[in-house]
Amino acid sequence: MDRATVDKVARLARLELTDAQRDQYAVQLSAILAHFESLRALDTTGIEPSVYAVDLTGRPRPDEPGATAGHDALIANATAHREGFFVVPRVIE
Amino acid sequence: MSSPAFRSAADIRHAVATGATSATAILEETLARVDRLEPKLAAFLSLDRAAARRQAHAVDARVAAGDRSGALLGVPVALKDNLCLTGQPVTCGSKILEGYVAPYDAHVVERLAQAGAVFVGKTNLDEFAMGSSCENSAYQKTRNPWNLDCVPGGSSGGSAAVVAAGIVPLSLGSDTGGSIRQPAALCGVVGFKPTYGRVSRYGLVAFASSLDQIGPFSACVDDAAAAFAAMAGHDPRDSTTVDAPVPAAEDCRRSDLSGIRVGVHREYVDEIPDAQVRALVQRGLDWMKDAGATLVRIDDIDLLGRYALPTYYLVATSEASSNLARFDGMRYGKRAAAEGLAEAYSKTRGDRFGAEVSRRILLGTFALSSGYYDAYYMKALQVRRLYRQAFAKAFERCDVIAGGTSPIPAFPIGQKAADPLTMYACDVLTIPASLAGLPTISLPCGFTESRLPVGFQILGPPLEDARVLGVAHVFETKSGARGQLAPLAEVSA
Repeated sequence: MDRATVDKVARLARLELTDAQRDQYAVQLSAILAHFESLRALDTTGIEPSVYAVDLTGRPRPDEPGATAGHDALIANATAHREGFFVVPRVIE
Repeated sequence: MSSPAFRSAADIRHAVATGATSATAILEETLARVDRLEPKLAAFLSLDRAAARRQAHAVDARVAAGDRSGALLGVPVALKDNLCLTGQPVTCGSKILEGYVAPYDAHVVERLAQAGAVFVGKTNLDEFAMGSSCENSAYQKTRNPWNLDCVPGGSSGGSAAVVAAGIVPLSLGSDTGGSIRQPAALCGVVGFKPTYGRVSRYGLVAFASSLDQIGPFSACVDDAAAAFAAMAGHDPRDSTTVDAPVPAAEDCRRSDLSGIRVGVHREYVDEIPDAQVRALVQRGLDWMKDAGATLVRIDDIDLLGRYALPTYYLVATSEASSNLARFDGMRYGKRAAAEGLAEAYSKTRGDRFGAEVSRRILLGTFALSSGYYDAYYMKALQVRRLYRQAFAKAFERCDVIAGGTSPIPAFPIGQKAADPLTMYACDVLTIPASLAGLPTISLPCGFTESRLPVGFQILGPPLEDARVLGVAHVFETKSGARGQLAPLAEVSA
């Protein structure tokens, strides 16, 4: 993984990196991906992907209101809140 | 050999239920052990004595009112700090959750509280459960009670250490690729990862949702079974929980191993590179044979061990990159000062995620990104299917598979910190069961020459948790390691 790819992936992940971090991750992730190349040797033609280890069937439940933690407890963890709302940086100029 | 300092959860429960002691007295003894040992171990990230005393008092009131039910009455329990306990911090070992206070209880917390447990504190972990040594915690490095210069394993290293040191008889961890079993092995205690879907993940901060599973640490198999029986079962708040009957703790016991076919595969035994670990694991297999089991070689089945690391790290990091997208500094966690929204996201995450978490987010984002998705993520999911098929084939010929947990014993703090791939290799024997969602336990099987504990792993087919615990129960009788604690547990105040 070259530095440009690390930069691109970091942008996608919304993760600010210093130049030193970018250089270090480029080296480390390249080594990790090189190790992972061994997977290519395994023939998986026609194999159904397994997202979970168990086969899950969705089970609907009655749509009934239940107890929740409560508005105040939830919003108390925000860096900024006002009048019961989250305050975030400007989204639209 | 049981430590003189050992008191099982079952012993405590009995003493509290019969009025021989109180939950409050048990808690005070526990807190005294914390005072004595925590400065050496650095295993707890937070500890709220007042809240714990209120819980103990409530348990005593319950007993006084005549309610002696509860499988964990008055039992002090430590929680890995990625589990929510109302009013207490949850850091996940990360700076990004510094100051976060849980507004609700995890399902497992509700269940254990109903069973009468008293929560003592939150234990250290690798940041967001990503690591095998606890060194990735943003707060502190936990030490192994058997050798304070060594790591306790990870990611649930704090929860393993507090049980090994005899501070609490029971703690909870989470296991994604080995994060319960590997630290259990390195700390010489029992660590059980139930079948995927047995225990609700509601209130567990997600790392890799298709792999994460909560389970207990204890110094004896019975206590792990009691905790499992109390926690397991369908929960509508976690749609991945299975709706299957939960075995009672009593059904997780056996008297011997007659009729049990133990699958032996070279990857889990003969190919363990460390000669001392290998010899101890082989001796463990002999114990099983002595107890009446039939050993069945299953070497001809390809258990795909050589693909374990790539498969696991592609699946887990992909899921992590998605799960950890929620940590953006808006609704919780400290936010970095920035002009616009995108900059606030990037700065907050860049400033507050540690190196291993950042590496895994980058790797997962890459594996899911356009042009690479099929070659990496989809490929790994296909290989995951092959793991499930391989184990299904193996379990046609045996009832459990047995072998080593960790290829190496506890290693010195700092030794592997610089090289991610070497650290990842610690999980090579625990990952396959995670990919296939199998119930798996690690329990002690002896010591190296330098007196470091070694773990023995028993894997069962999906939903055969009671079988795994039952076989482990017999193994423990043979090993004599029931109630084994690190020597520092025995030094009195």
